[in-house]
Amino acid sequence: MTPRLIILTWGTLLTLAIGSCLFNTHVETEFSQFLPRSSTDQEQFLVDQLRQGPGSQIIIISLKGQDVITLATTSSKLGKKLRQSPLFSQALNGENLMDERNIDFIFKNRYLLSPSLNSATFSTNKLKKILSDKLISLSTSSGSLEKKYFQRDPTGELLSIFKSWDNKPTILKKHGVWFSGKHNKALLIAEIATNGFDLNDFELAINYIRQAVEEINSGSNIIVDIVGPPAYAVASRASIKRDIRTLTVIATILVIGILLAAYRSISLILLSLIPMGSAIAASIAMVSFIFNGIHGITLAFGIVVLGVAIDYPIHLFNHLQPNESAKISMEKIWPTMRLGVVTTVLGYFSMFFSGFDGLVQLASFSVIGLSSAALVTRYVLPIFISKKINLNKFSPFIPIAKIIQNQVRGNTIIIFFLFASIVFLILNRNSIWEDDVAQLSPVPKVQIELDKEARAELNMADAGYVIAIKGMSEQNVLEITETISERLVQLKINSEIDGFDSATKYLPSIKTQKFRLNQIPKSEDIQTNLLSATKELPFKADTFKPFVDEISSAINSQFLNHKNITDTILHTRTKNLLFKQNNTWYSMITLNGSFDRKKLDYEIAEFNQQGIFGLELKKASNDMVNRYRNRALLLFVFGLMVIIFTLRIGLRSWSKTNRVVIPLTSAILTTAAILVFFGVKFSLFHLAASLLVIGLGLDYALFLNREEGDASDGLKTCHALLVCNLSTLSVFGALSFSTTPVLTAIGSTVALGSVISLIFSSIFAKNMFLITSSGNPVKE
Amino acid sequence: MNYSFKYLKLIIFPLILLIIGGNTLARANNTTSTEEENKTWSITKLMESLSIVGKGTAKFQEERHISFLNEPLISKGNIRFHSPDYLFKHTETPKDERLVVFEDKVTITNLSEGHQRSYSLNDIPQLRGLLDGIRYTLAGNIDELKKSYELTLNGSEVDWQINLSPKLRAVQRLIKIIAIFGKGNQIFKVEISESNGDRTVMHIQPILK
Repeated sequence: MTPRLIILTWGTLLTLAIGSCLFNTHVETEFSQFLPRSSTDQEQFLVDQLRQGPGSQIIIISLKGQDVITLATTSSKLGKKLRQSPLFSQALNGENLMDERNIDFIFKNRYLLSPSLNSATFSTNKLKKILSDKLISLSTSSGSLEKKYFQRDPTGELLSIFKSWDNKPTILKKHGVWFSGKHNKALLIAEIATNGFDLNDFELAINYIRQAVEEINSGSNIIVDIVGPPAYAVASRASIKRDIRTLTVIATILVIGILLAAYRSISLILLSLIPMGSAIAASIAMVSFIFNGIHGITLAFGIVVLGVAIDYPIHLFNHLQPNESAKISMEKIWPTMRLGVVTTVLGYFSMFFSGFDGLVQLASFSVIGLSSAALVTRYVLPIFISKKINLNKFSPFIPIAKIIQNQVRGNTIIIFFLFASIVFLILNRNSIWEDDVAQLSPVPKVQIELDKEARAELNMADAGYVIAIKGMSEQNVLEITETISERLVQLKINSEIDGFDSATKYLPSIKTQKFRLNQIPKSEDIQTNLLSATKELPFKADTFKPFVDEISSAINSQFLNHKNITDTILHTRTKNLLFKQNNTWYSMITLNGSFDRKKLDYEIAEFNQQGIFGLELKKASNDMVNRYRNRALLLFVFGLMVIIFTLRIGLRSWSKTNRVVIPLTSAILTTAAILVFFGVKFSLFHLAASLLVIGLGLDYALFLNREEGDASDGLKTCHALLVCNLSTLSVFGALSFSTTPVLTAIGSTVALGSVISLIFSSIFAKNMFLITSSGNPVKE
Repeated sequence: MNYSFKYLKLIIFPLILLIIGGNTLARANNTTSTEEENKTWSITKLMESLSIVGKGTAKFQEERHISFLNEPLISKGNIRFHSPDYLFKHTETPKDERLVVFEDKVTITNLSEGHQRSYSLNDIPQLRGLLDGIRYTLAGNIDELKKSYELTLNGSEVDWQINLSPKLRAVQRLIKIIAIFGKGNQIFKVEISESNGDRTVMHIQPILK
């Protein structure tokens, strides 16, 4: 290909890529896109729950900093405002939402909904007992509560419906709204209306709340605390954005400073950006094309990863000769660079099998980016480098490069570190991994405590155990739920569980509704029974006429299902317990309080039915993430093997391969040991970061072990590697000062790992071209 | 958990009785004569004297006249009051029930059925408005009271009757009139006429210590 054709091809591709980035790239912010694809029912369910299950869209708002009355009024007004806003699907603050309309709805459907209804309810004896008892309670304070409905509902079905719902202790209220018991804080719960876990929706909703409080009480400085998963997600995105912005500025200044010092040429700096810029454009365009959009997290981290693409032009610049065209210089170092790129890319390839969508996207981004950066460096960059470029002979890094070139070589020390860190890691094997997923959360501990406290106040501590019922239809899952509920009621009576909540408590299956209607005797029979039951009681003759009329027409009631309860309290109560997802119906039974895990597992197994499973949520999510981590670790090791064999093929000798692999392995394990020594616990993010270290380390070791060239080439190589390493150190060192745990993990791992890799590789390198035959340092 | 609030408005009646009854108890410990105020006796004066708080115990008998019953329902028990806002009503017959009002919380304990329930008094505006009225009566805050009630005083200081007719529509829907009967500084009867025609009469007899 002629240079003209190369430029044309590159220019066209770059234009296409940039164009597609600008016009065709959809940046995903929905967190679920980043979560793992799961293999089992339980896992899929758990992931779905994390995405859009009950709780994932719930925030707790606390208002403080003013007197009780101001706070209560604000809570009341805020509650009203949120209920009217389409941004929220629910807003509760303890105020009575059980309005006339809802009570009427439940009252109208009482014979479908009442759990106490059975064949005995309307018998003479039972009626006599009920009515005599009612007479007594009508004469007390609480009994007079029931007077309003007595003539229409003498058997008290409405009350028995409400009684069956009421399983939570009343939350402390002041002036009609929820308050924290310990602190002077008004508490509200709101559910954000969103499909999934969309950060933009969350941000909008959270800003709306703050604005609303400001409007309600302008100037009165109410402190608004918002906690809950959506709030954390928004806050952590904001802090990641902030971190990346600040740190990018710092890192860019440092890198430009280093490059300026090393090469004293603006045009070289601009040229060094070409491969990286092309790589970023290509990666964004390709990833968006393949995945139908790119995730925000991939974008942010991917660009950080591609920061290392600046290494390729640096290698080229260092190996330019005054009397040689850039193309020829490039061709000389290309085999080494190519091997480095190929092996690094292979390392990322292993992540394609991780089953973790986010990692797959990130790996694709890196693979595409690194290969295109290398190709642009190889074919495009030399065309731009004219012979006029005057290479700086006075780089301040040359003395250090000389130290690297001439330092003591020794295999023993590297092998010693290799084994020492293995021993250290084995001794500390129990404290290496972060097993508690909560610890990975980018949320500050204070916030988590606040959240716990607010949830405890509102009696909405995380459900410990969830029984999920999967089925083809609404009625199918409701019927199974009823069967399980019956068993749970027994367990509750035996004090084996504290309590539970299920959809059928509010919305029984149609089968049950039919059964209840069938318990209602004929109108004439009821009248006869009533007459004999009230013979000795002081009721006036037509006291129960409304009852007889209504129960007779109740027989023709329309059965209730999720469709005809949509704007009632039944919907509010059931929507998190009964829902359809991907054409499958789910019903959930949540257990609160203490429980015996083994016993419950056994009980569920007893039902011997497919599609019922019990989950201890916290444990299950920890297990799941840890399983993904272990899988990633396995793939990581597998990737290392592939890299080793590729190196063997590329270098054509095991001894040369060992020169590269041993210091790199030692460097990574030493890095791990140092991090563990400082109390760092590893997660998936560290694994991803160490892939980056491998890529860098491979480059270092390959270049240090090049066989071509003489001693002056050696110094050039050492200088190039030093500049590469310093720029990596600037970028990732800056990142390690981030406030976000994920960024710190990646930053510190890469910064430390890359430095140790360079030191170890240079100590382990045993190459003629590094030292003159006399053993004296090479003079430049 | 919100359901009971609707019903709660029906608890208003016993509460009024309680609070007013409680006030009587307060008077029971403070029965010194105020005869010198005779000449200037007015609703304001009555309010002032009723606003004095203390503590005490009284027996009560309640008659509930309910439209669909041929005879009234009778209950008996005793009540206790402690300044400024603690009330305890213990119904002994026909069924044991203990009702405690403290600050803005009501707790009802039903021993025979073995359950206890708590409600916030402020859960419904009707109740809140009503109790504010009662509280202002106790506090002697006649200005605030007049915002919620039309007040009329009949009789003389030795045998008087105050009628409270609610101004708020929400309260009107429940209560037609609250009539409080007193002799001197002592309330002996409270009669609540509900809008639906039902009537509750509570006779109060202080236990003097």
